[in-house]
Amino acid sequence: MTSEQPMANESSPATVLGLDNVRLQLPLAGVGSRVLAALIDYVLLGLLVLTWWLAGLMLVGSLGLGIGWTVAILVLGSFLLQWGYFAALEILTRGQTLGKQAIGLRVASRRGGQADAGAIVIRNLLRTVDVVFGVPMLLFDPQSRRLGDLLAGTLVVHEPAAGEEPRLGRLPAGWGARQAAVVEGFLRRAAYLERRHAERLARRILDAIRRDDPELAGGAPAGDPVDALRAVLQVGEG
Amino acid sequence: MDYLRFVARQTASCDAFERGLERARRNPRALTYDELEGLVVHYRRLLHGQALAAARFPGTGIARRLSQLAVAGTHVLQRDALRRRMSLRSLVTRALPRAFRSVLPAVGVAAALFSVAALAGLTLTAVVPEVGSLFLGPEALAGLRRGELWTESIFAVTPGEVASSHIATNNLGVALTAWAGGALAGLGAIWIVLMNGFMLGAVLAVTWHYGMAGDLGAFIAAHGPLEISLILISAGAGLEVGRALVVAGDRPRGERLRDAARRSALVLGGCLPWFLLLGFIEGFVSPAPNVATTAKLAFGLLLETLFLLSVLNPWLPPQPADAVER
Repeated sequence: MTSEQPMANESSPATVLGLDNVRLQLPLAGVGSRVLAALIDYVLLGLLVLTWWLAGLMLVGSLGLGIGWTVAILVLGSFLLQWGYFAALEILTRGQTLGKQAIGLRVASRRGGQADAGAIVIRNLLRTVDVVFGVPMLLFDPQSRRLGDLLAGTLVVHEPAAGEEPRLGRLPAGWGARQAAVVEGFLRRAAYLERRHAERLARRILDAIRRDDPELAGGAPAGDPVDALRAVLQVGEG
Repeated sequence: MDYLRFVARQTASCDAFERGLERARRNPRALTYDELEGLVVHYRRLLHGQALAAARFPGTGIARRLSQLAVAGTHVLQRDALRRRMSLRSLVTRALPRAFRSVLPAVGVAAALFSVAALAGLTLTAVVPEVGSLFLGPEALAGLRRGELWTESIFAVTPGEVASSHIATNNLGVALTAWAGGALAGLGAIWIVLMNGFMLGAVLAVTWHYGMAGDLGAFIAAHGPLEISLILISAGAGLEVGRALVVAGDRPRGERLRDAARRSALVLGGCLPWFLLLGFIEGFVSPAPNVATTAKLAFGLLLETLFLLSVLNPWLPPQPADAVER
């Protein structure tokens, strides 16, 4: 599938025009998560280069190449690792280095699609310059692009979370999307809240349901208020 | 529209799309045409659904789920443009020469800057010989006083293969940095060209001063012409990117930049294998005392000619003005 539409709005950071000119918000990665991912990658790259040298020097005898050729191969190999680590991983994994994978980021084309190999190579060849200029550019560019992204036409986005969303089976009379968003937001976070806070909030929501739709609230089971809320609103996952 | 009805309608579509997307992610080639078409139909429905949810039901679970699936689906299904698949032969014999020809004016600018800097280095060092010590260091100067080039002591203790790998990676690093530096409005590329030109001029003047210019010429005869060409072409490719940044012309700057980056990166890619070969020549042929200078020079010129023929491909007809190479 191809698309040649221009950006919907250059000043709106995450909005692109998708198929049929439908607006789509891309969850752009900010400077913090990108720097963190890069730090992880550089540490891993350092370890990789170190391992390459240690393994090479340990195998020097068994390879039968002699010290000169072994060092030459090690020098060329570590050069390849330094310049090729990011590009190779991003090409092989459709836009993710190990650091990006750990933080949940992915390289995408400027329209949210998959960046091609040429674009990935270009963005990574510019790392030498972006080591100095990348962070200020990430801070000031409205789409959090470093120089390499600008030249390659790429963006770095957050990988969509795979978690299940609570799905409400019914709502009290008079409740609309706003109230549904509040309840769903609470149910999504309930497992991470301190138990007593979760129960207190669930009780408050149940009180509001009792106030607006006593008939619906009448079927609430006794016991854990969070479970009661789930039962009253027939919450499923999906 | 009733929220719960919307959720019920969208959930089935989301589930079906999610299953199809997972299969497409795992092995896109395993999808049949009908399955792929079905996936695209679901994707289109999903995009409209997420736009509606974002407008009518913002912040709800279904709006979040639709948005997440739309982003994931876009990443798997969308391509910016269909780039023609190219064989390695076409890439080398057609795309690379066309890209190379398109950056020739920038390479010319790099060559002019290099010449001016070399002349400046030569003149300044001829007048003030101490300038040479900035680049060569006291040990090399002491060697020159004894009638020895610094290369002799280096190759006396370093095996050719080790020197080759270091020279190749160093030159590759310089070329890649010169290209990347071009993205800074050309400034990085200009800096590298000026520095290299000035250094060459200064080193020539110092060796001339100690009567060793002939020895230096003999050393660089085999690799020098190609090495200078490769550095200038890499920097010229970088300058092309810088020019696109500064002078966008009648096209959007972003588009112009991306186009220049692709063409110039291809040129750079075409130079990279030659750097490896060059490292080998500089490590083994250039320091070889048993190879005559004239033979080295002939070899150097042959290498340069082969390189220029390969990247220019004079047998390739010029591209029509309205053709766009993707």
